[in-house]
Amino acid sequence: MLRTNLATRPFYNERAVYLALGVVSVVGLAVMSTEVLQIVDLSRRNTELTARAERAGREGTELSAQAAELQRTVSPRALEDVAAAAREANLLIDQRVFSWTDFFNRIEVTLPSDVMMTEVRPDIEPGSIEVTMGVIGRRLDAINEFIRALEESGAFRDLLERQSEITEDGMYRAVLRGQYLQALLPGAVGPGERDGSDGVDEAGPEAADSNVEPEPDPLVPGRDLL
Amino acid sequence: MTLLHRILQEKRPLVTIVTMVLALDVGLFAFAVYPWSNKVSQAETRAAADEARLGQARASYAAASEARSSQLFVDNELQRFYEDVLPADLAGARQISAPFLVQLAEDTNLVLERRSSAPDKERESLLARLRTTMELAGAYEDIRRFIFELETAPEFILIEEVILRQGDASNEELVLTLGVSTYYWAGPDAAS
Repeated sequence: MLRTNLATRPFYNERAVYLALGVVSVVGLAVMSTEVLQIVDLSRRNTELTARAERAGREGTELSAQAAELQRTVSPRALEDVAAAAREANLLIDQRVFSWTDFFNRIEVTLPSDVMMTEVRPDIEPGSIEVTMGVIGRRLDAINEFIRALEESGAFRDLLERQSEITEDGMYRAVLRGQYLQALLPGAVGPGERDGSDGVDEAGPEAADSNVEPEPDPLVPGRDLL
Repeated sequence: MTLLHRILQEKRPLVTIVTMVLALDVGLFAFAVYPWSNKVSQAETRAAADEARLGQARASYAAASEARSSQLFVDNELQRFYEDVLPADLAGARQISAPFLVQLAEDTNLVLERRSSAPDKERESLLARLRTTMELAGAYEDIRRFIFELETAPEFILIEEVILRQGDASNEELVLTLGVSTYYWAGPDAAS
């Protein structure tokens, strides 16, 4: 067996070179396949995104046009007119549902025997009812007692004696104004259903017996406009 | 000649193939992956912007649609109020003022001493008003019954003012001055 190196050039490890080249080739091919997959994926995503953007743009344009069309049909002027008409209608309905029977029931239980109510004028605004009342009393104290009784009943607030004067026959005439908190009294009844012993004297009105039915709530169509 | 040069020389075909693979990798990245990534990124931004615009358009459409629906609803309710609740015209309002109130006064034992009516209309309002002032004499309980019947009647009448005074005839009799109004459709002002 010849053990002497007769080659003119030194040996090198060819297997290692093949291995290195093989590894680099495999890595290179792996990177390439990843890149190809990435390109396919990016292309697909790009197509999807472009389609999505186009769809959104188209839909947005259509909706904007429809919204503009709707806005043209609902002009601010028309809306204002409708709102004003609805406010007016609501105010009328509020006035219609003001219960005079309930109001007089409350007055009857609070009116002192020597005071008479002569005039009532409600001023109904959305959310508040201001009532102006004219009263005649034998004494100013009785009128003040009436004011106190009305406020204590919880039906009135901020009552003020706006004006008072003495009449030719020695009575006191006063104008009262305050906020009326309309709500049905527990067990509120129609006129004539009280026993008439509420301390109303001959000068004041007296609720007499009659078979009048309890007050129904006036039902008005369009009660809750706007 | 170094060992590396020798290997490159001796394994040239293999090295060339490997180099081409690597060059192809770089080329693919430079000319395909990178530009596509940019393109996709831009497409994402554009899609997001378009979708945001679409969201705004949807909100704007919903608001316009809501306003339109509200307007139609209120229009219908108003129409119902004008047609079903209020008298149709001055003649209808007059019917309430004349036979109805007069009859009601009779039915409740009140004596109608005086009655006056006058129509008026506020500018900008679609409704006209027929205001009636009545002077009725009678007992307090009859006055209460009259008011009760009036406010529970199906006719749309508003009691606006109540004035009471002692009658001259007897201590029991009271005189009620009652201001009532009814409204009817008059339409917009000619000028507006």
